[in-house]
Amino acid sequence: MNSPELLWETAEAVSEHLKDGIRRRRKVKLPANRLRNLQSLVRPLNVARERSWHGATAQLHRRLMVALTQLRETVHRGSLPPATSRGLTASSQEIYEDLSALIGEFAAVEITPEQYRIAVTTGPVILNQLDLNQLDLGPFEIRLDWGAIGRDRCYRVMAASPHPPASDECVTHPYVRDDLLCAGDAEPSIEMALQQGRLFDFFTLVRQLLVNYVPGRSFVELDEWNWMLCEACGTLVERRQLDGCQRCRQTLCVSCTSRCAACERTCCGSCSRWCAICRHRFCKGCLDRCVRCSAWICADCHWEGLCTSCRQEAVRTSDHDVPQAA
Amino acid sequence: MQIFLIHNEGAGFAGHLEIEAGMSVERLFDTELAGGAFEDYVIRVNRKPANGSHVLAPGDRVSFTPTKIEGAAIVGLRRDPDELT
Repeated sequence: MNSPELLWETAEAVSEHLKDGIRRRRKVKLPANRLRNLQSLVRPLNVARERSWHGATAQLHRRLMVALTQLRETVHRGSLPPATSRGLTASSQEIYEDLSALIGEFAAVEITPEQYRIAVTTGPVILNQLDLNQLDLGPFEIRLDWGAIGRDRCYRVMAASPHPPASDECVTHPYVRDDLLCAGDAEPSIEMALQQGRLFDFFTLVRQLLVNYVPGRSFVELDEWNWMLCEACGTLVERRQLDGCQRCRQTLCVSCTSRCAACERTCCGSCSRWCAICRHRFCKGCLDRCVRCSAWICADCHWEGLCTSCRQEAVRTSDHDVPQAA
Repeated sequence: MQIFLIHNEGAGFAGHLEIEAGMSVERLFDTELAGGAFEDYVIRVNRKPANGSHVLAPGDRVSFTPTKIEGAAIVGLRRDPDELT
């Protein structure tokens, strides 16, 4: 329960922390970890491409793009002029009023002073794009570790009921990956609000980002959210362009399926074969092996366990063995 | 009279501002965010939603937040593995 005493205790603690923060300055750091992460993906990607492992290539390429995005974001944040409080750090009274206002503003507010944490829960985040159906991502918790204000990533944005796209299970919102919000244009305002202790502005600003979607600037775009991965080639396809193997139940794009010429079931490449004689595609259930040459043959090209070629050879051999009439 | 203004346009602003007594929220908006469309902003006075006709009082805390803030200013993933940039 968020009693006035709790709010006041937290307000005073946050205010003290911010005053200490003014005396500390964030050190300049190069994004060495981001670079290492990026470098670690290049070699396996090149190996996968050389060996034509299309599914692995597609997945590694996506991971490489995410790592590149994270590196560019870190460089972008480093290029921003350092946000300063400009002597406008919120007083304990102002922070107390912010915390009180949060209680009426959000569905839930949880304050845990021993963890230096303030967390709010939004209502359901429902995103729209033009004529597409709505995407209901459910509520999100915005969790601020106020003891870390002044250091990178003092807050997280966590989906209460994650509904990630098939292409990246770490993405829970077009702007959120690994519970970290990419704030884009709002980054300077969020940074300034945190450094000045304007907690109400911080939480409402983050919520504003979550409930507004602008295409073209996302980890996963809204129109691709419900796309699925082809389990054969790793390509992302729209649901309506998906098919499946009726033998092994893999989810496949139409390019990776074929229809059995006999039973007409759709199959993946592993569950189907070419008939060695007629060169039509069949599922394994409609093929048999020639007992002589082991070739896969369909029913039409099959005669008493032999393919037509072996059958003709067998006939020629038996003709030679037939004794001449007297 | 003095108010505290916060806006989240561009790099953002937060600070005290001297304005004439009796100024309305909409007039303040036109002065400080000239060129912006009033209806494209969430307006709060003292942390509560307010409309343009609200008359400001000394010490009021006013915030203007664009309704359409663009997050994730990084281009999304490309699907062609041959394109790395």
